[in-house]
Amino acid sequence: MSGRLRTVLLLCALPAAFFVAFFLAPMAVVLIASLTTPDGHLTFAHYLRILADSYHWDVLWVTFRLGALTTLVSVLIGYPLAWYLVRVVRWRPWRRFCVILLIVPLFTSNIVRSFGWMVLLGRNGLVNDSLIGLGLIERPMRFLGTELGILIGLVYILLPFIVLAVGNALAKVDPALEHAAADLGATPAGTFWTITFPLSLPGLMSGAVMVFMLAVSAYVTPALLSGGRITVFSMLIFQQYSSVFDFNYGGALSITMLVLTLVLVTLAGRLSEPRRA
Amino acid sequence: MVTHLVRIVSLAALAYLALPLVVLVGASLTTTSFLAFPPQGLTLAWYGKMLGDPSYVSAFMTSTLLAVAATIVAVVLAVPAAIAIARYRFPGRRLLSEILMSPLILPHVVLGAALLQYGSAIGLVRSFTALLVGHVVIIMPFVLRAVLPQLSDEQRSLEEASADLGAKPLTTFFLVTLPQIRSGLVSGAIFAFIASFINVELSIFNTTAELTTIPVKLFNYVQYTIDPTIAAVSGLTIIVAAIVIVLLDLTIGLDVLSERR
Amino acid sequence: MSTPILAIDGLSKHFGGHAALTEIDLSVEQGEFIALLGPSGCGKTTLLRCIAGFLTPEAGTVRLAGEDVTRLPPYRRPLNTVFQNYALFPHMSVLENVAYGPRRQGTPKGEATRRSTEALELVGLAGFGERLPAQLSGGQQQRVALARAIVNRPQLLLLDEPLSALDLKLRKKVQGELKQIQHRLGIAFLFVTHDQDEAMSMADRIVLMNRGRIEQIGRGQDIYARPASRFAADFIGDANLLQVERRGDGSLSLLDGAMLRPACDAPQGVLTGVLRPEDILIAPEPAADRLSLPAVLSEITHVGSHALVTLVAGSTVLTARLAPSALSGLAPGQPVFATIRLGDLSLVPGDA
Repeated sequence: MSGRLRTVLLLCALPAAFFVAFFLAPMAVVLIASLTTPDGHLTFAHYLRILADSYHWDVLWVTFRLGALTTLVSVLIGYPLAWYLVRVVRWRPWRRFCVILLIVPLFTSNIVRSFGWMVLLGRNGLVNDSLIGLGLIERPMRFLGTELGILIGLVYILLPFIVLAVGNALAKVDPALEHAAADLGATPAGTFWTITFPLSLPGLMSGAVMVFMLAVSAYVTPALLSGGRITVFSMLIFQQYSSVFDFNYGGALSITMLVLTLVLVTLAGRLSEPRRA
Repeated sequence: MVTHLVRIVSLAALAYLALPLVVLVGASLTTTSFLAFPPQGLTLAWYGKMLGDPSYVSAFMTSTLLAVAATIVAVVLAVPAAIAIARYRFPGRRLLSEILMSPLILPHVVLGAALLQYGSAIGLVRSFTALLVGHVVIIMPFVLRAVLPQLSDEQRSLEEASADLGAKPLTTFFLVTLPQIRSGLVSGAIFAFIASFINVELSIFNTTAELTTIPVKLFNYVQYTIDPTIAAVSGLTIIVAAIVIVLLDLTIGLDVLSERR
Repeated sequence: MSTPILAIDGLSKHFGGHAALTEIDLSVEQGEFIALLGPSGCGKTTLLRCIAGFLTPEAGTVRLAGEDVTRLPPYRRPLNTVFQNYALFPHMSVLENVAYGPRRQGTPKGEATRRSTEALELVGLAGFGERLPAQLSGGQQQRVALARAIVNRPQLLLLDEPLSALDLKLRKKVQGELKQIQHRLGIAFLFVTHDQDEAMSMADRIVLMNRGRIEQIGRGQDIYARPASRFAADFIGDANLLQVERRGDGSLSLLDGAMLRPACDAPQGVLTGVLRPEDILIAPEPAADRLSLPAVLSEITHVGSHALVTLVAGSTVLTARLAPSALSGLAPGQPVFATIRLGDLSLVPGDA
């Protein structure tokens, strides 16, 4: 064995072993469980059950619709915010403050952040009070237990990912490229759409993929803001493992969710792949 | 015109980001026995009540201990892996790095369920160790992601120079390699620590009434009752997070969005 | 005389309290090749950016072919720029980069492609259209940047140190090509550089800048032979700078009292005499038709085709450039005479 290979083995043995033992093996167990009966026979019954049950389709539809909407809204708010922080703000202390404001939520638990929205979106919460105060509505709106409420909570939690990803990409765009475009006759809007936006697209896409993944697999936020009225897919999985104790069926649900998200994300990655040699 | 619109959207978005945090901290100071914002009167009584409750204190201790232990283990495992991936070309290198990074995008509920099922087969459930291994798996990518970009090829010549001057590999690592990756290691470890400290989805499968973390305890609590104690616990975590971030900004600098002009 | 393609009047630009450009006047004729030469920080790039429209001056005007463009944004100015690091759009192919300008002006796609292909042929990159900029060498990228900037046939092309990223050998080659293309297209070039050789070999006229002001404008050889300032003398070519004093009687005193009596209209007082190294000869005896200064030969350095000889005359050190053949029989430490022609001595204001 060559010296290099021995060094590699020495460096990687422990981390690789750890991941095999506590990541790959558990995932394999789930995969096997999803394909077997409790007494160990091969079966596709669990998957067929998911496919045949319209309730599951409904839950999947709600989950992915929420994921897509969360991603869309986060992009629509996050891109301008990233632009603002990188290109508009000139006073450094203010930008610093904004970046801190962006990161503080990332450093606090989903639970705390969602709890904040539970308080805000309640019948007598600040949001309803303000809307009534402004004369926009007459009676309190229902947010908790609606998809709108969950959407507000999910966008809140995931917005910083888009802003940081886009902001990073925007900050890296060489100003000389925009100058060159202007020099060649492009108006500011033309420069944005032909140069700046395409160059920030990889950042936007990676942020959007991250947001979509996290939105689709979110558990805490929907659980707290749904008030038991709306079920998303991760709640189904949790139920199987924590109260129904059907590990085989739960495994099939887990694998289904995993495969679906990976397929969608891979597709998104393909579509957004930057041109390459 | 457009800039104006961008400004309005951005300020609204910033307000949206600040709102829940402000409301929680505010509501935790209320003198009423129910959550009220704006707070009615100001008191730190709810913070006192929280600190007087041994179950909060012990959950807080568990969370801290767990996050510290998980971060240490993750660093010890991730740094050698990062060096191997960054410096050597070997079969399976890409696969290894993809597997080590995949917990970042894997739904944590799925991983938590998998660990529970697997753990019950090998007798590793509802214990500190069971929590620890799961946390290490999900936070290792943070360390890896922060350290990898700092391992450049130029450093290899520094390491060769060190070896040439008679240093043993381990000495070279501590005296030459480690100082080069220190800032990445620090920020990666901090993100890893935080990711562990705030996790609910994974921990929830392996906690019990006696062994629970702060986020899981909060999660279970708010589903049944809402009172200002919860706001106080939340408020405390927000304040701690804000302090940590300001310290980070002052030490390693968080101005990630400055244009490189 | 026709309207100059570029006319700059009293242009000033400040950054905070720092004056980057002061009272710049410059006029460029159709088809001229102008080099903006000066050390880094002299304001030459700032001037270029004011002309291109990326900076707005506090005072003065910029006219392009007679039209005042001082307040126009860059995309409304009929000129193009070759940027320092080329600024090629990394997400577009070479052809798309070149076609970018015509497309922004509303040229139909087919026509834009045809013209871009022509421009690429002109710079010797036919067949490279489908590549991405990252797949090209530095020299090739430079040509793409040039093709992109000339495809619109501007009347004025700005070039911001376009060759600084190329290695020496390639730079020499591209200099020649650039000059040829400029000649063929008849476009006026305003070429920023800090390399005096580049400016000398390429430009019709050199605009020499220092500390935000224009020091001298003229043909390279004229500035070399008759520098207008101490800075010009020192920046272009090598120079021996000697302290000269003009007395009341019109005579000049040079080098510790050696007397000259030239017909000279220089102002009275302390001046600087500029003497090029190749204008100094060395002789064992005083020469009859030249001014001869006693000196001690202190050092000889051979640099290929010629040798540099250091001479000490009193408290002044002179450097002479001689053919190796003129050195026979000379050795360091030897007393000699440095001889000069009075006509070779240029006088500029200021202390040496």
